[in-house]
Amino acid sequence: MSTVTTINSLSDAIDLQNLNYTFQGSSLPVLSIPAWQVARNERVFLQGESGSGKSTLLGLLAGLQLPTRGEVDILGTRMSALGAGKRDRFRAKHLGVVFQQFNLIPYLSALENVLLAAQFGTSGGQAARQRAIELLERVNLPSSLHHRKAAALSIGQQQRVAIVRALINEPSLLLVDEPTSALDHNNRDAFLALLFDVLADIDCAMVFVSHDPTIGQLFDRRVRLAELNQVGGLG
Amino acid sequence: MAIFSSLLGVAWRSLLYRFSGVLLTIVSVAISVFVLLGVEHVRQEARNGFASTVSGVDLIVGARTGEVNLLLLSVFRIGTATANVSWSSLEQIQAQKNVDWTVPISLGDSHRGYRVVGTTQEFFTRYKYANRQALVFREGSEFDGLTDIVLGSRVAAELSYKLGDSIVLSHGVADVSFTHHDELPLTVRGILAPSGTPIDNALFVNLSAIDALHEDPNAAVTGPSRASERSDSLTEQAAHDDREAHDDHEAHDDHEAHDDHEAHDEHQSDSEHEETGQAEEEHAHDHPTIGSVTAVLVGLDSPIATLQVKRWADNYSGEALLAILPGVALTQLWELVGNVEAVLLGISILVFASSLLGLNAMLLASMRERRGEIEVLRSIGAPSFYIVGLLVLESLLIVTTGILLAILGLLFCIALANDLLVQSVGLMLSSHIFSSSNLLSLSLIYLTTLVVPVLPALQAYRVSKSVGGGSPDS
Repeated sequence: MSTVTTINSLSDAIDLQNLNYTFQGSSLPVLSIPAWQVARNERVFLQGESGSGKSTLLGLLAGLQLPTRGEVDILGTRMSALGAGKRDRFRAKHLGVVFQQFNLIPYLSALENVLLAAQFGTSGGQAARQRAIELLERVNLPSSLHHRKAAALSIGQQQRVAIVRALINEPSLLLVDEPTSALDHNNRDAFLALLFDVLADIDCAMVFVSHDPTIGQLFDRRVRLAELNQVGGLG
Repeated sequence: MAIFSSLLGVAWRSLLYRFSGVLLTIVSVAISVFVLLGVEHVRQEARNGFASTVSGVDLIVGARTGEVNLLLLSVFRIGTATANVSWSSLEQIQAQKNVDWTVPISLGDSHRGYRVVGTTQEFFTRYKYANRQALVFREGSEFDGLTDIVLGSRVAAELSYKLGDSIVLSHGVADVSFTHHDELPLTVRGILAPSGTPIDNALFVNLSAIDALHEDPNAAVTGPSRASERSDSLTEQAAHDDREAHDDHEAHDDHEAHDDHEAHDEHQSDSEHEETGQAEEEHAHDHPTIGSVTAVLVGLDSPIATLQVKRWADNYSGEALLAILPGVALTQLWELVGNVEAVLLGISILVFASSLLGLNAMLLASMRERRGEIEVLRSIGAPSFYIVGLLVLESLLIVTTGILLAILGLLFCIALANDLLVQSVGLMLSSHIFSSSNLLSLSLIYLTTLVVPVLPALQAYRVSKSVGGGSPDS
């Protein structure tokens, strides 16, 4: 767990060059992005409809897969230069991921879910536990719920645990995919407020993907995936 | 280490989370393994039980007939002898070099469907079964006088005889016989412990008593006493019969004399029956004529001499004799009835195949519902070995629990069923269920458990390339 590529603190959080992604067996690319950067600590809202290739893009940004052509550099590290195992370690250590729902392992408690992520990242032991409990309380999850199985939590509570889990390893890049799509309006606003509150004093870039443009106002920068993606409308 | 304990903890919680499904899977694994081990065990035990019907006997000598016939007659007590071994031949056998001991057995009467065997006291120490296991008395001891009788365990149980009970022997093999030796009640002197061999289904009396039952006392005396010249035990019992020994054992001999008297009386009534031709014929067939025995169990002081003594007996000029090696003849007989084994083997193979297929189907089916979990694990950076390890560990826990349940269940059932099996089919199951073929089956099951989840788990690891949602792209 020790040999993880060192992070160049001067580089961008995300740097895409001539990115092209084509599904195996298909001749038409899903994604084609000539160039795109996200700076350190920048919070970017990426608006994209279903089928615009946003999940594929997030998969590429998270190092879950490699582009067909072009390069994905995350925090100054070229993803294609790392093997699958090293990308797993890189992701565990430097990235935080929150997605639509089912973020958690249902049979582990809220705290265990967070600590499992801590185990794969840098942190571990008593310090991580302490930090996990602090963060859980920070997102308004009372200690009575820390040991409740994830499956027994409400979706709103689960998403809040997912934020903590994503942040437990003090990542430099947070990838968030439609985290509010399963929440009602009030819960959505509360969740977003909480997310920004927690992130306020953390140095961390964020790419927040949603189809809902009203959320975009909260961000430094708003990008439409359709504008980025030269494939446009396909995929 | 931390990773492994975390893995174990997560696997454990995962199984508890799916408790009802896991329980069903465990039960189905347990049942498959139970049937697999059980059928295979019964197969092995039937074969072993058969092969261990008699041991410690180097040769069985009887009148010339088929090898299997002689075995059936002398060991399984099935059928009737067409000819017998005379006392003089017995003496000749005993006189052979390398012959350590001989135990004559005389097959004749039956008692309520169970054969009565006339033999000497030495039978109980010389006859061995299974792995040279000696016969054990559950109660009482070997017969002593002419009116003593020793019962096989099943005979005692089925007919509810206790020590000291009086038994009246009927004449002939049939359950219902009209020639009863009413005049000579025998006393139950000993009851043998179950052996899972035909011994359990027989009654044992003093060889001299059988003769005494059927012939006039003078002939009964002359027969065994001639053989007694060579055999210690025969000498001992002959002493009871020998009129010249009266002075030495006065009190006892009074009793013996009484026995003889009764035998005599009985015989008189018996010969009245024999005046009808049918009874005469039955009599002639069902026990050896006086002065001869059905077969002789022979023990040698050196197993190397076995073939030599066998050759001598086969070529014996005084009488047409046949000597068989019990082990070889048992194998021949097993080959005759061995279809049962082939059927059981076929069943084991089918059960094994179906349990492996069932296990695989279960593992593959559960893999589909784990896709979401695997995506979560991937998104937090779980390495592939962790994901594969988790699924393999869960399968191993399920299979191990199932196998343990099956083994415990099988041992429990063997313990429970043994009494019944010994009683009904004369088969005693050992608790050694880990035969090499069973261990092989279990390791194949484990190997499958290790291999089967790996492919779908790796596939799931590779397929989950996007973050969440469960679909590759949206």
